[in-house]
Amino acid sequence: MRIKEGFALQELCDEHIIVAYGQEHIDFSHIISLNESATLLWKWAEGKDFDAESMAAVVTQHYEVDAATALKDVKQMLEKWDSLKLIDGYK
Amino acid sequence: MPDTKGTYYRVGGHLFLVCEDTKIHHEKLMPSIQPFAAAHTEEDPVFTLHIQQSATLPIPSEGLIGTFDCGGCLHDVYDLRGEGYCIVFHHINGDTCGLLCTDKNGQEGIVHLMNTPLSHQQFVLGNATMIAYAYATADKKTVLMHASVVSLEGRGYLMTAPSGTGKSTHTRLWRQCFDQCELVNDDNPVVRIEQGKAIVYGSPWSGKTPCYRNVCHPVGAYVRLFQEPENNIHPYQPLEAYAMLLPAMSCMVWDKRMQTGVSKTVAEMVRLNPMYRLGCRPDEAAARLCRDTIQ
Repeated sequence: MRIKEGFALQELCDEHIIVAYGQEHIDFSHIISLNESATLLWKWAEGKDFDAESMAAVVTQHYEVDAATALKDVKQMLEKWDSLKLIDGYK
Repeated sequence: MPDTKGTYYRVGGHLFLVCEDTKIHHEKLMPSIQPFAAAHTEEDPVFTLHIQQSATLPIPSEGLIGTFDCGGCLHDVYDLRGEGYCIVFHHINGDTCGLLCTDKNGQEGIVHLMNTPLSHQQFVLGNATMIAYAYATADKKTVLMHASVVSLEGRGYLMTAPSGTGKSTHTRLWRQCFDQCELVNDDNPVVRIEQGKAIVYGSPWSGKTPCYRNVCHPVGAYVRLFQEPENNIHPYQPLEAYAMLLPAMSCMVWDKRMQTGVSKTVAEMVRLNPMYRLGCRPDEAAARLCRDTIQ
């Protein structure tokens, strides 16, 4: 899967948000705020093809968490990203 | 080529050039721009706008992005195959009365005026210069913001809300209540981030109020107004402030350069100055509560 074209990560004070641009997002009126770990994963995923497993491996590298928990959390987050139409190719 | 003449202007610290064929006198069509006339220096203008009289308008046959309501008037926006935009202006009575074509970065623009009543030409030129300015400066830490602004003791206070909420009423109440409080602009001031500070500038675009002042002040605070039966005021958290400020900016949200430029500038504005939510009645007590809280 991939992050869709037309979304950019932006700093806002000590937070990170996703802003949309492009004609396909002309009616996108949400502002999406990411927490620290989601920001890390967004930066890692930008511009590449990835799957839940490779993303979970990034989580285990950076946080003290076992592989099964990391995968479960990543899938939960990707479910959310998919529902917000931020990613293509999520199954 | 017809004979042309050029005049330089400086708004929000940015120099721009307006050229026209000798039959047109843009200063007469747009007197509000005169206080912003500038001397020509070695500095390159951020954009150049060519104004010409056209018998027919070169409206593109394809690439319509959408029709946008700008204060009751409709603008059709066309994408010129990624090489820029064409914006067609319709008067409030529905007449098509002019258009603006810009290049991709907004550095060059052409305004076509038709031989329509003077009020239509004024309307086209006002809108075209405003859009050209916002587009060219969006990646230069500069935004055009829909707000009414007053100055008090050396700071600018910007009131924002959808049209009809009472921005102008609230800033009029400030001027009634507080000595030496002055109107800076009543509709579309410029905010620019300079050396780590947000500065608000008057502009040639001020809606229905003829207030075209070439002045600037460091920003004191931003206020989002709501009509409510009781006066009350609260500070916004950064995320809320961002969400309230962003829709107040002139922006073609589909354009990557403009949208990322504007959203970065808004994030800086949120970082540098506080923003408040004011629920208010149209009375002097609201102005006093607001001033006492935010100053």
